[in-house]
Amino acid sequence: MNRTRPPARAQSLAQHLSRTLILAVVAVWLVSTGLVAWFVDRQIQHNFDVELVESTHRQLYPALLDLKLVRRADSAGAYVAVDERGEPLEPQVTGEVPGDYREEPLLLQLRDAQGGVLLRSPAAPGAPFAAPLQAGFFDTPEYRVYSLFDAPHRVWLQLADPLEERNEASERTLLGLVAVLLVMLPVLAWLIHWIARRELHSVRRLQQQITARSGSNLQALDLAHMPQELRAVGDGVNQLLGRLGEALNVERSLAANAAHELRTPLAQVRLRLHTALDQAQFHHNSPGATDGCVPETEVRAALQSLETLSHRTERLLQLSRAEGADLAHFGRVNLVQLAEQVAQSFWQQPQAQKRLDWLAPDTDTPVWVQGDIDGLAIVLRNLIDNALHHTDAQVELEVQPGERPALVVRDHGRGLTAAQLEQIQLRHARIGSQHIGYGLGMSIVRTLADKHGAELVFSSPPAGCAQGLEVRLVFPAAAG
Amino acid sequence: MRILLVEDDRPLAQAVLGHLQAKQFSVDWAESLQQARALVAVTHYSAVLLDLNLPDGEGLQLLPALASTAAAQESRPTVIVVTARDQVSDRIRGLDAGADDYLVKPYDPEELLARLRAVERRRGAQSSSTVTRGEVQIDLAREVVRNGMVPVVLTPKEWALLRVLASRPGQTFTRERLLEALYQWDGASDSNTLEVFISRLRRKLGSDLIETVRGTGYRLMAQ
Repeated sequence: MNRTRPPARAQSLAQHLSRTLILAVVAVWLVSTGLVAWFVDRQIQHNFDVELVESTHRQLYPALLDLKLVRRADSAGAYVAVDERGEPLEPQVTGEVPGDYREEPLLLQLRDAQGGVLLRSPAAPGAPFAAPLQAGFFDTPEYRVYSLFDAPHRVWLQLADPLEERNEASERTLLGLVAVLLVMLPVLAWLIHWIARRELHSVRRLQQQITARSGSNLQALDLAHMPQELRAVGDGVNQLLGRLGEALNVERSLAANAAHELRTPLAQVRLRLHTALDQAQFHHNSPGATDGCVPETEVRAALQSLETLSHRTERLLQLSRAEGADLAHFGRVNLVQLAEQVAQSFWQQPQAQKRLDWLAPDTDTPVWVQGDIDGLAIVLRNLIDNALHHTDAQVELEVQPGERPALVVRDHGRGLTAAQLEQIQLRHARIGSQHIGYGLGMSIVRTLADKHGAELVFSSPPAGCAQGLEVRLVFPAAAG
Repeated sequence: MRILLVEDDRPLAQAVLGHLQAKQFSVDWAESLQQARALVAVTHYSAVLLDLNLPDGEGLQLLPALASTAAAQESRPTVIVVTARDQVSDRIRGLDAGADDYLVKPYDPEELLARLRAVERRRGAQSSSTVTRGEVQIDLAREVVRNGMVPVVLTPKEWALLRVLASRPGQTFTRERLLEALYQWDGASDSNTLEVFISRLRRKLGSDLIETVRGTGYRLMAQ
């Protein structure tokens, strides 16, 4: 058996869209966060530097005042860190300076022109900063140092910022940005997914409408409130549906016209052949008058061929009608009235008049189903035709009311063997090729049964009978 | 017996004319509704073979003209619709409009002849062929039964039985005589079958129409 692998489950457009969007947004956010962190870090460094410069300028005068209290300047007015003998003096410690009470107190050194420390803040080291005596900033492994030269006293004031302090500030900022990112990302992901689903609702609505369309439902899609892009798709589908509907209508009207165009000449040929047959019989019975007359056997053969042609034509027209049966044209059908009309048309045929029994239901109540009355008549005609052609026994037509009403055609002929019964249940089944159009007839019956959502049930022999075949067309329970 | 053929397809009409005339029927031919109306106004026909698709309208439009002329003449002709339309909906519409019979092309010419001969036979045999009992109207000539103006569909066997009973209303027919009528349809009929068909007729036409005569048989209720 040739089995096709079921297609892999397709990914939802909403999922695909939200996943791509989330990845893109995260990437952009990460880059933005990096840039923001870099900018903020620069800004922090700048602010620290500005603060350092301002503090240095602010601290110069108090430092010089403190120095005057403990040191005397030389004759040239310059302060030095050595005594008269050239021995280094211990650097003096300033009084309280701003920030002393904080964790990061001010680190200040006032140095002479030779680099010796004249004065320092309590938190500053006794040894001079490892920064050269030149105006401006200088980074040591531990500090960022700003140096300011006071020309009148020939001294340098140096203020130092611990680099660690600056790094901590930058890290705190970066941490804040990352924390916001981590908290907001899941919210953003959910929001994107929700928006994608909501915005794709129109696509789902369009898809549901297209799914509902079939050969029997070619109604144009409702494109009201559809976004512009989907409206374009919907317009395309509507155009296609319109063309399909036109094609189907052409096919249906072709079948209807073909019925008329074919049946009329067939009737004419049939009549002509019957007239010719009468004449042939007349000449046959009048010896010596056979000149110019077609032999009776030839006419009978032509009539037989015409019967075959008519039968096949009829079947093809029925098949065309069966395949074109349209749910849109379904209406309420009274099965009792339908069966009576079909039975009456059979009773007009001398060969069927005595063999077809119509078992009317016990009550006059109509038995309603939803369907195409002409399509159902074709089903009944085929089933009765089959029964009449394949047996010599009585054929019964019955309508069974109930929750699931049924049309029943039953014969009391030889019936089918178990193998034939099994075969006939299959689609496109054909039992014996000697019967013209039998397989086509069953195909028509099945097609129409399917269109009506009805079930074909075969029983041989029928329940309670010794022999025969029963075909039941069981309709679905009425909705509601 | 005079027949009117209303058919717009010339080759077919000529074939029908040829066939019926060979069988000794007298046939007039109309190609359109207009021609048909003109003919029925001046001629009395026993039967009309009526095509539905005509160049100037639908064949059923001729039925009112037939009804209006029927009053001035002996009776309305038997109308047999002969059409290529085989759909049940068309058939129902045709019969509802007042047609007596419906033949679908390409019909068996023997079938057509059988109908025409039946018309001929009934017209010859029955002068007054309608039996009315209450709401039920049995037209033996046309083989039409109406119950309160609604046509009732009878099977050939039910007809065989009713025809015998209605041939002499009020007269009792023995079970044997009635079984004989059924026997021509079904060689296996037995007395139970007779009960079944009487019961079906009562169900379709009302329980009072057919009376049981105990120990003898059945009869159609007297006037």
